[in-house]
Amino acid sequence: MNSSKSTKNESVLRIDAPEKVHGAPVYSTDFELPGMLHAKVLRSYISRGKILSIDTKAAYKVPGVISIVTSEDVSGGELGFPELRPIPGKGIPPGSDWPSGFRLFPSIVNFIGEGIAAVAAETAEAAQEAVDLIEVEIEEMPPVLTMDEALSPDAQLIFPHGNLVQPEWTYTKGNVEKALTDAFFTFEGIYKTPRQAHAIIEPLCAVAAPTGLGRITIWTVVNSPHEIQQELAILLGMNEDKIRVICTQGPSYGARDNVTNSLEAAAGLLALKTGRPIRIALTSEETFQVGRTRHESRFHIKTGVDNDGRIIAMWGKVMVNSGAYSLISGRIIESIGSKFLSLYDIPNIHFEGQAVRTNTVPAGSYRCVASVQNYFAVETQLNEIATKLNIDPVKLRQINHIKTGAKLFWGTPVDSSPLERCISQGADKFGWNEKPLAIRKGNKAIGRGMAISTHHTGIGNVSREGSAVRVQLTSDGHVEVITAIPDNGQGSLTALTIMAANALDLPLKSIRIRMGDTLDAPFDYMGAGVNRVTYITGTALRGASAQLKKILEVISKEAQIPYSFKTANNLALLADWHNAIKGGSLPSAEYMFRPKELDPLPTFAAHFAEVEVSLDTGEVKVLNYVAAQDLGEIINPDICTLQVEGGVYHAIGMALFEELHVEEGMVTNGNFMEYSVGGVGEWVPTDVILVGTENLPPKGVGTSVAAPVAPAIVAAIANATGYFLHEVPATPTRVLEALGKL
Amino acid sequence: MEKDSPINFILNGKPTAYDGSSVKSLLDFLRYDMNLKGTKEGCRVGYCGACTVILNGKPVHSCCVLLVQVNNKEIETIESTSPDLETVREAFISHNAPQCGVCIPGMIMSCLGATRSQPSSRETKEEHLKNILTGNICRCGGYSRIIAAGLEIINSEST
Amino acid sequence: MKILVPHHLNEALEMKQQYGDQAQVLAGGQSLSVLLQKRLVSPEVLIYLGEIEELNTLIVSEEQVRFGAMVTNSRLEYSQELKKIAPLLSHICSVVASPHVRNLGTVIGNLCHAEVGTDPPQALLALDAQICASSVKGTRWIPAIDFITDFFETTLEEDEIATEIKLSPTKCKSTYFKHKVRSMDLAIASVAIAIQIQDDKIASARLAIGGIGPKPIRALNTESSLIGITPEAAIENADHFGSSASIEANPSLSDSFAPAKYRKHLVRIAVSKGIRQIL
Repeated sequence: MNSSKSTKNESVLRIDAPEKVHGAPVYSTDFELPGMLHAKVLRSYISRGKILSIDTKAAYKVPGVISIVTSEDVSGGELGFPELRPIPGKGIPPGSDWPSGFRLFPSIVNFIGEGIAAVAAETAEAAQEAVDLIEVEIEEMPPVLTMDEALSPDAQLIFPHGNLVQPEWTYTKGNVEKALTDAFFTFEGIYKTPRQAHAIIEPLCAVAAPTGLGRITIWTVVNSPHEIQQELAILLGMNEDKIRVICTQGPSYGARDNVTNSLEAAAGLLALKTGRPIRIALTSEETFQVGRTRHESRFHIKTGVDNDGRIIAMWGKVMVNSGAYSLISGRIIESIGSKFLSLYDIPNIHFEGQAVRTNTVPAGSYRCVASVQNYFAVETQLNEIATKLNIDPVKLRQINHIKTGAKLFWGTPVDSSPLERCISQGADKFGWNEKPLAIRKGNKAIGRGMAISTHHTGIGNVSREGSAVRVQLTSDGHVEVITAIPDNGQGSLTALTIMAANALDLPLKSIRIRMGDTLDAPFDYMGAGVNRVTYITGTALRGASAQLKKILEVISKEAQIPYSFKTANNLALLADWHNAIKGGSLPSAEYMFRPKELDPLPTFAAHFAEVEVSLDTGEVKVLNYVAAQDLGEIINPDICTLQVEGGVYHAIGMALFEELHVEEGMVTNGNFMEYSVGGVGEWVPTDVILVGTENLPPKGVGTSVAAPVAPAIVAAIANATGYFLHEVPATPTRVLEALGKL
Repeated sequence: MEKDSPINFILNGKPTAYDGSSVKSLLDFLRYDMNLKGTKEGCRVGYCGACTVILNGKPVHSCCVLLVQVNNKEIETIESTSPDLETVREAFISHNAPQCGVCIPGMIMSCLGATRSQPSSRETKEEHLKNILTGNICRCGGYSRIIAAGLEIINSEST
Repeated sequence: MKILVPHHLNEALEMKQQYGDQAQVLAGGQSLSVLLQKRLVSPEVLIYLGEIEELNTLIVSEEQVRFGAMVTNSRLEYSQELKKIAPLLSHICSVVASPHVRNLGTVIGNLCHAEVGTDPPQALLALDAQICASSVKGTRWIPAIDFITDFFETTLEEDEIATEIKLSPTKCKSTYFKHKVRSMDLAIASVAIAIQIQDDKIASARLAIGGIGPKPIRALNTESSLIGITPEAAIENADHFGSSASIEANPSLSDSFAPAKYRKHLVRIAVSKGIRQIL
């Protein structure tokens, strides 16, 4: 499809800002229906066990209690996702995102927080009182609490087919062993990233209502309403057409990619059983315990370079902790692998990856998934090599990164000029060559570091990837865009409005957009995430708009009512004419876009960080940060800038402060007091460089920013202190331990 | 002596009396008794600030205020129609501050609180604003615009 | 759960006498409301002190500083007189949590909640404050150092309410270090230092340390070893006093914020830095 004539469109103020500054009741916790019941969930307090009996007699006696649901209401816990995806003759396809074993109220609980029952009552207090009175007998089973435990030879098997999420994924090119032996210099290290919580401010909440004939509607925050619809259909044993999902406002950062344990499904089940609307509002603490986390990772890498700084071999083995249910863990390993195997041009390379099940809170999608884990390890090792060999880290990247004409791992031909521009423009803005990498001032040391990355646009390696959009002329003279995509705060509403307006050659005010409702939204594979909205949905939107524009031009001639940007008010007249003279539905067009490539549109980044380390207390302060992002066509520059700032802020959290502690299967710092989400005092002003490229589609920016942040900061800390941390967050304790002061 | 009289307070300029349980939080009262959904619920432990309202001219976390504490006091929420609140709203719009928007009513009320209250002798006007904003969190990371909007407001005030 | 709203102190004391430990006292609510919402406490009654005028008094003079149970952190933060007369207390009240919390939270309420890592206790220990515990039986004054006994526990009896704090201001050199992860967080280690000089010798020293274990403490031995030496000698040996204080403090708390060994390290740094800074 045609991209815009210029790289950069003009900035537009957010269309949904006016309602948000009034605190409009558009969030899931604001939503209420008459006659609504309140429900609370009984959750497992042990990591693994078989439920022997559930006694609800005392719970039912609490005044106001209307209904209680347990595994009996979901066929004894046997509905849901079987462990192996049942595709006849195929087993499990690579990159499966099958949430193996995920059920509502299973007969075997697999993590602390797993739902066992839910109570609906007239008030939330009565529901909670009843939950506390449910008696459950659980036969404890030995839990598997760490990745190492899970892979030991005599490990308990969480599911019969083993503790690895199928399949293990491995790839080799060339002769890595020999190349490492022959290399001028080899380096080895193991790098760890933590569990990071999404820490969404509004606790998770779902409202479900029965709408007759066995149908339910669910209101909650989602990334993709169709994805949630499909998951609920499997969890509840219903047909998809009986489930309508409507997205409320609110952020996701990946948390809302899949259903949350015993939230939407439990609400739906109770709605069907009671015949009344049901609200389940998790507490903030519950959200931390069950709401999924970023995958914790451990990455072992060996690199061999020649004496010109060329990387001639790289060997990598990564393990990620998928928790009890692997919602995306098959895909994340492939995704890490494809990044590991793509960004640098390395003739001898080997990758293997394992997603490991443990009886702990499940991991899932999280902003910049897979790239964060990959690039923390790879970029840190490259920075270590640069230090050891006294090579400029920027130069090391410039020598080795993939160049135009080469292909990404999944076969996409690469244009590396955006990456080159990110590196040079970023280095320029940062003054990379103007100051030394390390400056010492008494008890304080200042260090500078950098890192690069790539991330995908769209899911990558999934043949199902695609999005369809419908555009429709309305009776009151607007063009309405209908899409399954919601706006989770990243500005998709405004971006798609801009794209429609441009494609139809109409002013913004002529465009309306209806988002996030499965009722009549055409197919969309994965919703608002993975950078895909402006490219995949945007391309579909442009296709549909082009078709509708042609139709409107024809009608305009026939009706002799001009159609143009200046005469946009005529659309109402056109609609009138059509209704009066032509009859039938008002003109509309629907278009589906499915990218041909498996990894259609990589997006590059180069980040530069300057930190000040207090050598006595180990405290790290970020003084300057420059983020150069490769964007292709830039739809709304101001929002893109904000997304980069926000992405950097979020990733600095993981680099310096945030780690969700899980001890013996229990989340121990799952609340806003103890989990360190940065506020104004921790926020770092960021210099953002939007690197646009003509004749490229919009690459998206919501999720690709995070990957270079932690390695850039760790490199800066290393230059300040002389020590590379192999684990983040770089807390003062870790810094001082590296310095030998603790 | 037990509580035997209703609580009286002024809510967004309107005298209001309440006779029910005053053990509930001001946040729950606003959202569920008065159906004023503009004040948002978040952490409920006095950290995220999504529930910020103005009490007797000062920003507070309404999740940490029990209703009995507002007797004879004045409360202002995001639903207020006061002109200076409108000015803060316009600044937030023009700086493109809202992203997901959950934190925004709280941020707006905190910025309004910064104009309503005086800096202490230790702070400049700007530091006063930033100190007040430490009682609010934006998980989307939209701080640059929230601060810019707040600074525009406090610097345009006539002293 | 009922709320009782006395209008005079003696009414409140009678209520506390009647209900004992089934009654929680509500002042600013910044701690109690969280405990109630998270269902960590479920008392039979709450006794709200906010309608009792006399508990809202603040007296600041050269001879004494006295304030009642309803006086907020914010009020002390903004008091110009207090800033002149007792700058350490004034400063410490200004760094509690966030302004939202300070606008309602009271110093006495904070002290009675006895949560590790809050700031006001260090000021009160460093300034030899006393807390008035009142009951229908009468009043007694408790030295700040004896008031908090363990995590979330004080020495108050079941029938007592802490109603007032008093301290005698002294001309001292003072400073406060607060180490925390985020700007609005509880301290992982906080140190208040107050030193009086007379005839070019250290006449008294207070090293009040909190955030590190079940209760705030003073490093009494280290304090004694500072007495009688010159400020120059103290500066020269600042590192030694830092070590000594950190050993005495013996931080035991390890949690998701920081391990005990880091807290100990911070105490050592803060004491030695503080001594150098103020003398």
